[in-house]
Amino acid sequence: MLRSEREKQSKLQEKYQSILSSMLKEEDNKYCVDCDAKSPRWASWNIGVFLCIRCAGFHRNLGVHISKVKSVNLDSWTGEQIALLDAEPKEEKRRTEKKLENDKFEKAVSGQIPQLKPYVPQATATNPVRNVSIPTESGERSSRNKNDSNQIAEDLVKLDEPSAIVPTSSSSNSEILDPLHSLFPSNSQPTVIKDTLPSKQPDAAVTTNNFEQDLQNAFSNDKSVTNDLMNPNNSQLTKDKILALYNTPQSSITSNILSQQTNNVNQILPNNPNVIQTPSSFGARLPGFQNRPQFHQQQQQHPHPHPHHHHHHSASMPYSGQQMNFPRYSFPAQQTNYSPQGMLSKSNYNGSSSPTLQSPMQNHTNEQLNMQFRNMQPLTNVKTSPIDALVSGQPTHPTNDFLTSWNSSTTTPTNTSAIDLWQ
Amino acid sequence: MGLFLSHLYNVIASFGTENSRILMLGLDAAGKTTILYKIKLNENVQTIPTIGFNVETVSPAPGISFTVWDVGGQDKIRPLWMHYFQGTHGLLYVIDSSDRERIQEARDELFGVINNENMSKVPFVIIANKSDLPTALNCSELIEELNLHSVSKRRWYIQSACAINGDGICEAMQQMAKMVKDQRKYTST
Repeated sequence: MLRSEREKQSKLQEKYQSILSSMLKEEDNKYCVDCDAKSPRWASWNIGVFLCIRCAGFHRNLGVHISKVKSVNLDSWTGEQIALLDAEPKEEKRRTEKKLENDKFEKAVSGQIPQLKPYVPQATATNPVRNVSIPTESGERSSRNKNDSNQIAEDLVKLDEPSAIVPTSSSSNSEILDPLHSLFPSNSQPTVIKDTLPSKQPDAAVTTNNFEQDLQNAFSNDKSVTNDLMNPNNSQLTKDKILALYNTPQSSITSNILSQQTNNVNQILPNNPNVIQTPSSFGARLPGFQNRPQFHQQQQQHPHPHPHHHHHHSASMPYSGQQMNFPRYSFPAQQTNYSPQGMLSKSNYNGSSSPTLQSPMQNHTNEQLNMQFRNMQPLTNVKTSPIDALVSGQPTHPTNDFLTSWNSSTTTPTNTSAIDLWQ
Repeated sequence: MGLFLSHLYNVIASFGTENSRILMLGLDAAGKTTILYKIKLNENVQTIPTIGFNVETVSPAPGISFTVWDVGGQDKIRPLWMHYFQGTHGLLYVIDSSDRERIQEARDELFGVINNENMSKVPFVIIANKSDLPTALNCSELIEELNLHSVSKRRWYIQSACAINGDGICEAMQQMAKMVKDQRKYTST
């Protein structure tokens, strides 16, 4: 009885083995599903795939709730298992198996590495930021930036062509080069071309044209008028327009009066190498974009600027334009009573012991405070700087006088670095 | 001095279990090889199905030294287990406690082993591996499923374990050492 059952079992197993070997002869089963190794001898019977021994190890690691691995030769099979193994079409098996493996892998990886969530600021009463999904927004932004950059690139390509023509044709203009010429090529060149090149005017005509533009620049605060005048097709100016120019500049006159305080500073400007070294801040603070071509022209024609030009520059470009270059710590004009307690603490922190600062000061002008404060700076870090002589014995000078000497002395890099360190 | 004495005690204590021959059996994919190399290297190795056997000399705790034989558990190579029985001092039987479908198969194989004449006096420790999985049976359920209450004349122990993070492995080995020592005392007297 038992023997007959055993014989039955062994016959059944032989039958299963033959089925399995016939399945392994199919083209899809000749390679491991995961790694494409030849002649797999293992199988995951619940998924229905054949595997190599290495991938069988991986499948066993997943757990029996995911993959049930059996050896084709070393395990005994049941009919159900073989039916399951043979159930699905092979191609589909491969694909689903791959997908399952990928999912498992990603799950395992994501379990180990904490995923960073994109930061979305919470919408509060003080921070009314919409809860926008960040990837799309950033994608839009990046694409927009791309378009912008492309457009800019195209513009630059177009604008490069006239700049190549200008130096050869208008030799009289181009011989006088100023540092701002290289700064505004994109904006200045088209007007130069249209004014000088197509008409091929003689030098006298060019100068008159530039005189008109000087006028424009002089009263450039009124933008409507300047826009009219700036139209390069408007080569002939009517008398009314010129007269209108003289009627408009109320604001420029008032600003002239306002800028009387900084007049000395402005007079320093053109010959001061420090200012010319930083023309970007100078030009960038011009209020209207339209001003740049005229400014450029005028610089070409007048290498030695007239005083009234500077008045207007200061009018159109307020005091902050020069502030870039001189004081790092300038006290606001409204603050007349300044108690230097904070400064004292700072100086003590830096180990400087200036007797003038330690004595209580109550009513000082801004210039004096600026002066004192700046005197204090180099003492902290630099011992052998040329500014020491300047600092030591001059407690009260007008700011502008000090600025001249200070600017001339800041050409040495040690002082600037010392001030940077102090900050 | 105290250090020396404790060292001496460990040396003396290790005589009792020196070169104890431990046989590790269980169904395929129970985690025998993973446990072996977790004891040996304290690492999670990527294993492949064992065809044949692995043997390592391990010392899972101070004063304990085992020669562990890890034999492959595939269905058709289980008859080869009997050739490892002779001279074995202890049996580690590893069960995949999450594989509920094959608990009966594991029980049948276990009773087939412990009822062998060469294994009749060998203490055995059952390691209920993969206890971290959600579908895992706990120890009391396993005792019921394996019908361990019917084993009355022998010393046995069941330890829930997880080879991946090492939980319960050391306890099982210490228990094994203790049981082997007791068994040696019992047989010598």
